[in-house]
Amino acid sequence: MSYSTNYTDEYGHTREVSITKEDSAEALKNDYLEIIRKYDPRYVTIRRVQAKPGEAMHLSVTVRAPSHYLSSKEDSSPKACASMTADIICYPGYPLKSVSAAYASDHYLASPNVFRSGRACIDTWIPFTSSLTTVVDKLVRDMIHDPGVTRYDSMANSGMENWHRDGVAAGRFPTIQPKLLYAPEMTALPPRRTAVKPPVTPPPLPGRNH
Amino acid sequence: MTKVVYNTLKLSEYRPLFHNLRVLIVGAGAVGTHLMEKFAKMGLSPDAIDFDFFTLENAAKHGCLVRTPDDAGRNKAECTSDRVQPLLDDGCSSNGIDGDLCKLGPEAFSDYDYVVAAVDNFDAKVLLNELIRRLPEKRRPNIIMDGTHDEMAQSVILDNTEFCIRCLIDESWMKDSSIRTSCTGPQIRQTGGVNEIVRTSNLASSMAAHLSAEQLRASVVGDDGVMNCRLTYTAYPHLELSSSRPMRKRNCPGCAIHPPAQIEWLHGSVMEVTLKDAMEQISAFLGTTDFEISVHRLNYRKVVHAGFIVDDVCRSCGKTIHVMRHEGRVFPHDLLCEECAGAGKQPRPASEFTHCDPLHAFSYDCEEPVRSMTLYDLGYPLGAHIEVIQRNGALDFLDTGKIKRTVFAFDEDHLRMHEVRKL
Repeated sequence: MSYSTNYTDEYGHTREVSITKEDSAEALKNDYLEIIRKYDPRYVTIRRVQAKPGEAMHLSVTVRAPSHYLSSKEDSSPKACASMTADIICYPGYPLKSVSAAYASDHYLASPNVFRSGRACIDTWIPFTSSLTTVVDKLVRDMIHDPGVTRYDSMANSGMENWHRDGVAAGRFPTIQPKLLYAPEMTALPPRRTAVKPPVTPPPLPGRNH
Repeated sequence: MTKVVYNTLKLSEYRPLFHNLRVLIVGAGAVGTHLMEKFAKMGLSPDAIDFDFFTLENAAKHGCLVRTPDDAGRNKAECTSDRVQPLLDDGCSSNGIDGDLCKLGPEAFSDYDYVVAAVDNFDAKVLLNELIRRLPEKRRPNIIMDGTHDEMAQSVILDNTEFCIRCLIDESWMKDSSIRTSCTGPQIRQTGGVNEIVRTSNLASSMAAHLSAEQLRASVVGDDGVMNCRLTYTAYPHLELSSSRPMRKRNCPGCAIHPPAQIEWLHGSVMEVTLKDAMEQISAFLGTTDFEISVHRLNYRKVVHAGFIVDDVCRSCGKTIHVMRHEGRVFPHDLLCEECAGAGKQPRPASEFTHCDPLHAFSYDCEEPVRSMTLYDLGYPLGAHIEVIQRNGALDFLDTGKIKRTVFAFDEDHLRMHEVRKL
């Protein structure tokens, strides 16, 4: 079984690409390991939960930081909370097939980019550009109301626009510094090893004054 | 119906070789109608499939098998099949299917010795190639693909060993792959960014059919060097008939398609077997009820449809509606509630609505209305390869060691191709 889709490169050339189920599982594994490594577990918890029929992977992503939620479709008064959780589902054929993300319908993020059903609005899925990592990054920053990822031009819940803009203007959003979400930078190079041999001074060159 | 009785003494000696052969003509248009006539008279059993209808405008191109104006408005495949009935030899049959390729799976082609792609757009050719390539080699028919341009006619016969249909299609043509390039439709194709009207004639169409029939005849008779060849007829002033051998295209996406390593058989046909019955058969085979059946994956016109929509919202008023159809068989007008459809309202863009999640797999605990539907109504095409996944306690697809996949097909699907009239 293989999966295929059309891929448009940076020059606008479209061609069909195919991946096998093994390729798909490999991509899923790589991207999962990447998001586990990327975030600080004190603030962001990513947990694999039992996938349902038709799902390739089901993740529960929790951000432990001040946030705001709505409790029903009709609710338009954001309420403060200390953490927020979203479910992310990857389907067979990932990364050619898009993922979906949603909050609990009775505790969904108050954001212009979250539908009243609780479904998160993620950007158009572009194979080989969009990935689990880009979606998780958008979600976790959305959960702290980081205006850096908010799309006011494509709103799922326009009723939250002014509230969100006011929060940004008042300096309340983002609720914590976005960099706190990420794991501390890893050391770029391994520590220098001690030289095995002592350096040897070369003999003076003939005919030169030292 | 009065049948023609042929005087075999006046006909070719090799004619009996054709009597056991079945041919499927995909597209019963300008070339397809000529082919139906030729194949019937050669002593073959030709079936045809087409979703389109004859119009009076088609009369200048299609074969005389089609009566003008009597047959205007009739489905092309059904009509041509009816018209060749008196011409068929004893023991031969012909069936016309009102339907399109999206409703056929790989096994639908397994009972044919030859499949002729007489279609006028690249999307259909690419899909046909995928279906044929997914069929195990021992059940794979030979393919003939023909076409016309101006007064030029061409036909290629291939057995998928040296190249595939996709190898014959320049990838740059896929940009406007759904444009119909002859017979009906826009009749315009882009060459180097310039729109040009595609003109063909009845002479070119009948010549393309003749070349295809000749390639079929020669390959059945056993002439060496026929297979994997392209015949090109050029009209005056450069009158010529040439033969060439196409080559495999580098990095061809079509050649990258392979059949499943193993196919297990279920009894019946997707047309009649319900999801519930299928699950019982699969359960008996696997010895467990802990499995899921992936929803059919249709890759057509650059979109992959892999969900079954139970509920969605009306694309006009946003009210929840019960759909119960595969994504690939749903059109915007199908997603209107009764009130909006009755009021003649137009569907708005899908991006304006939040959608309900479609099903991506069917499991034992599916709702009863879904379980009682036939597999065909659930979106599986006739001759489908059905993927069943056993998770064996795996949390997700990262637990690759536990996941087991089995591909099933139905043992009567290929026979339904000679009976079913509408898909």
